[in-house]
Amino acid sequence: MGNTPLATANRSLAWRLWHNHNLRFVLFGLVIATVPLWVSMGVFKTSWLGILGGTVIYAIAAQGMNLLLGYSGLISLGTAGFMGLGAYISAYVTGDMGLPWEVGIIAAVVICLILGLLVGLASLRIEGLYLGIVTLCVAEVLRKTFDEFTAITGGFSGKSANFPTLLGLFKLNQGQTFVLLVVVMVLIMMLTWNLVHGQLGRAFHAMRGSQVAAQAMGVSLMKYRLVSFALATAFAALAGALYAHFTRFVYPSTWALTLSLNILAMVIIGGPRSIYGMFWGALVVYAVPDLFLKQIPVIGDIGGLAYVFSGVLIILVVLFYPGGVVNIAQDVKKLLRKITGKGKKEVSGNG
Amino acid sequence: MMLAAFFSTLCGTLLSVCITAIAAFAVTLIFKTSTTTNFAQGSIAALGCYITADLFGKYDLPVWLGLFPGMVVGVLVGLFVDIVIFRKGKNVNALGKQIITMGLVSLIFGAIPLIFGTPETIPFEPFYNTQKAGVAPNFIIPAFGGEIVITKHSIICLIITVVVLGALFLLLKYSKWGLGVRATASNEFTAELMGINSHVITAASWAIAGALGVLAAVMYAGGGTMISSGFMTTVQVNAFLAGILGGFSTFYGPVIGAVCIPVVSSCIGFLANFPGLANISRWNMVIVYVLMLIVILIRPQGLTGKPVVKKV
Repeated sequence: MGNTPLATANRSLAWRLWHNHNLRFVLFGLVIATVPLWVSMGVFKTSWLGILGGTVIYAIAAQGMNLLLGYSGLISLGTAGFMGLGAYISAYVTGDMGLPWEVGIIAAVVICLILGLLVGLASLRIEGLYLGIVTLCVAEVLRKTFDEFTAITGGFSGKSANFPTLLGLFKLNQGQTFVLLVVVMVLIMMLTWNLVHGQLGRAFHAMRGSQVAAQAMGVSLMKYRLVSFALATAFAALAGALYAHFTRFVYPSTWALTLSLNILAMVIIGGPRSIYGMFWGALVVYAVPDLFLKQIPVIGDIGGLAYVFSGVLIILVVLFYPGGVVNIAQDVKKLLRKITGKGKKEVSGNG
Repeated sequence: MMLAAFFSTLCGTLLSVCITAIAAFAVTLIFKTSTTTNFAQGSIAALGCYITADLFGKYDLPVWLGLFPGMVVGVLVGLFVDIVIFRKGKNVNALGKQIITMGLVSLIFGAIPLIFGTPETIPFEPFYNTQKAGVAPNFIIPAFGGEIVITKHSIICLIITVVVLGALFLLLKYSKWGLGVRATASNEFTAELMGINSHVITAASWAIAGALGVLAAVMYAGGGTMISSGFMTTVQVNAFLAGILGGFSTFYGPVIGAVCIPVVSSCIGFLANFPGLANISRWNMVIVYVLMLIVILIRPQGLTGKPVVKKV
């Protein structure tokens, strides 16, 4: 991460390729994109595809939340509302208006982006915990609208959508849509990485550290808060639109407060200010209860246990592991080095 | 005639006003002493309400008697959160605390079906079951050339609310605990320097908030709402909104906010009586929330609050 161009120039080509972050994101995506293959070979259960697809979608929304909460230090409890709005817009544009899939996605992102800018403007007047409650109210307004605006949302009976048709030519099935989701997630990861390692990221860091100091340094709070909110809502809308086309059904009850809280939990558990952390956070919060807990005989059949598990996990991570699960690999490595290092010393002492 | 109908709608929100006011006071108490928004407020309340409902359904304990074990559970959960969880992580910031209370929401949401099973319907009744006693469920007052209808349940709840909140406000103003709460709310560190045991103060606040939540939940369920693990969510969202609408800087502000929300909502609902506006009741809550958001944007410090001056 902290490699200066001078330091990297002297390294071998292989080293440079291995440490290229963009390439690493692609590799990461390639590994996840093999899931449909495993499913078709019968190694994974068919239901895993749906669950992991959901994980990828939530990871995209969480990436937006990461920009907002992790980097800019702003809080929003409105993610679920914007995801829902994105889902409905995309389902309406592709279904009722008969326009291509790409138009649906763009419409969803653009409309939510404008709304996000408005919320960003509101955030200039409202601070901290208050902002959380205000965004929660915005999400509640949107959710009530989904219930009542039956002409577009289908009300309580829900709204259906199709798997995407790329460029009007390639009709995708569930497995291929999963690959598409992974491609979008990798693109979002790259975008986020490049954004936060540039001037924008510096400004976000400054704003999080101290607003007064940031302003004194010439960071325009208005500009960067708006950008932060716009990006977060755009990512949420994108995730919502993908959700509509992956699960092919949208209900208003999906977009409740619980979902916003879950996405917040993904950021905290995964590790704020880490790009890969969002995927791991989504996996822990969304997929692990479904994938593993329900497989355990006897215990797995008890309803509600998954919620207890994720609740306890959230509390434990906040209390005892504030860096998030993304650090586990590093900490284990450190621990191993410590153990082996000690072992070596003992050996040399004996000799 | 129209006026009588208007007052009837207004009286119909009495129960809602009571519930939101109690919930808002509980939220404020925690917001001021622990500087966090307690998302688990509604869940803890639902858990306590399940205890009351269980005692009523299985052992035929009257609701007003079953309320006390329910409130004890609320108190215990509140104390558990503050003493066992929050005190473990003294360096956990306000956001971390929020996330912990969210974890609790998930925990209780899953624990309720584990403890109580998933029955189709949970039998429940108001404090005073008019049907069993064989009396009319409503008071009817002839006025303005029509009739104003008030349910007996909402009158009982109003009396309880006024007594409980009145007692709490008196305690806040005149008792040592109240002084401690106000001192801790204004600055925890300074309060500790002044010899106030802020640990005891926050623990007591969590205990009271837990009990108040259960009280609100039992009132709500008694009014005919189906009990479920998430049935207090709407009340809780309204309580938060009431908090910022009234302004968290005072204790009475959120209670004023809590009165405003149901009243404004019923006024909008009343507009449906006029021709051409019949559809408005469907959009009732959307309009209320948007109106409240506009008020909050104009006065971010709340209706009763003073603007906060930032010091560097």
